[in-house]
Amino acid sequence: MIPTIDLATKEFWMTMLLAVVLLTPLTKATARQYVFAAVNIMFISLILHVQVLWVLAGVLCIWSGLRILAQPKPWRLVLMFVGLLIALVLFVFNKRPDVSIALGVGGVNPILAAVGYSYAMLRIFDVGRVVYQGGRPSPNPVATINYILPFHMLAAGPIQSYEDFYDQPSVPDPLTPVQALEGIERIALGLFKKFVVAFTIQHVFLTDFYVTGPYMLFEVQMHYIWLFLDFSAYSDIAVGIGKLMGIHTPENFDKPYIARNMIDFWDRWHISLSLWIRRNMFIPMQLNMARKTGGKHPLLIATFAFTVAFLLCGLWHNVSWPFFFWGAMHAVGLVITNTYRYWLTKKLGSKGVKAYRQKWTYRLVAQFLTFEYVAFSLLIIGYPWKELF
Amino acid sequence: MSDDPAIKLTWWQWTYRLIKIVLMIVAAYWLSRTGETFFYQGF
Repeated sequence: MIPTIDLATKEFWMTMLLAVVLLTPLTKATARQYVFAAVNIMFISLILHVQVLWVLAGVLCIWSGLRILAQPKPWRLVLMFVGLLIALVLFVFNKRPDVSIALGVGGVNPILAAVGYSYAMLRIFDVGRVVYQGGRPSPNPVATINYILPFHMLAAGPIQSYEDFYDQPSVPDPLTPVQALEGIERIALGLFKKFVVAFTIQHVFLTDFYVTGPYMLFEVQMHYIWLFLDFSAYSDIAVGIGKLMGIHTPENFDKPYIARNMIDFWDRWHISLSLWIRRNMFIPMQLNMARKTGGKHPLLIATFAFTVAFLLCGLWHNVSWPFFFWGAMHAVGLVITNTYRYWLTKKLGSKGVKAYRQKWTYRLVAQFLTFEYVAFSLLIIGYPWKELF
Repeated sequence: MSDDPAIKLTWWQWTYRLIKIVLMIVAAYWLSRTGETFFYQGF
């Protein structure tokens, strides 16, 4: 059986308590690093038992690879491509366990699931790019564990950037009683959102789109609200735990339901993923193409970058057609927003656009349209297509 | 959340927020015992 990182287990909360109790009094950076790494590995070993040794072997490989990437050797590019290939093959195994079973390597599935591989992979890519570009030094083995496998961010992120991880103070300011209260309050809020509000919505209103007619329109709205509450609850819990441990944990949501266009939406929804896409796919693609075309056709370049980035974003969520089309729908939304913004600026000028944006009627219509666009995009991934075919 | 360590709360603010925390956790714990998995299967 493939395990999931279930936060509703006593193992998770015991790990959290242990981490807070051990980390809070520590004032030495090295001691904090080692204790946090021990807690992270302990949490994974509670799920995987002796197979945790495979995870440690993987961390060692990543650490060695990063050390090589940090050196200006010509063949490090080859290493990066080989690493990328291995990471992607493991990703396909993680998302499609049937593939790895068919290939006779099904034993890898529980290990990938236990470390929340799809999130860990994004962190590996991020640290690889930063180290390759010389943005920050490569991490030591203990920091590699802490960056790639932080127990409170394994289940559903957030995806911390390596720069953010590296730049955080090695010893945080002492936790005040009010900050501790706020951390606990945030965890309680996450639990309440997940188990009370989202749970109630799911059981009272959602039918997994088996009901047709006008109710389906209503369910589309409730499905979006439910997903937001359910997903953002993880971030609340992770941010709260991070606050208590003194480990910086980035925010992941900022009222996405009031977004006024799709670019605004991705600035508010799963922010850490959106920033990851920007850092690792959108900006490199855009820069590379702008250099090749001498800065001509910026709109065309942005359109291409949005499309590729969001098709891959869809497939990252799940290697399946519904998620591919979900990504495509978001790419279309982003391209339309970007093109409209470009056209509007040309027509009205930047002052005119500012005045246009301040009209509350336009804002309300834009917010409604964006909400509906996102809600219907989620119908693509929530609809029981298998029943049709 | 505030990162300002100088923030102070009155005793009734403490009481209100602690009661809110306890109620939220108790409600969540009570409903989580229905056997629902915490992990959203989509991702």
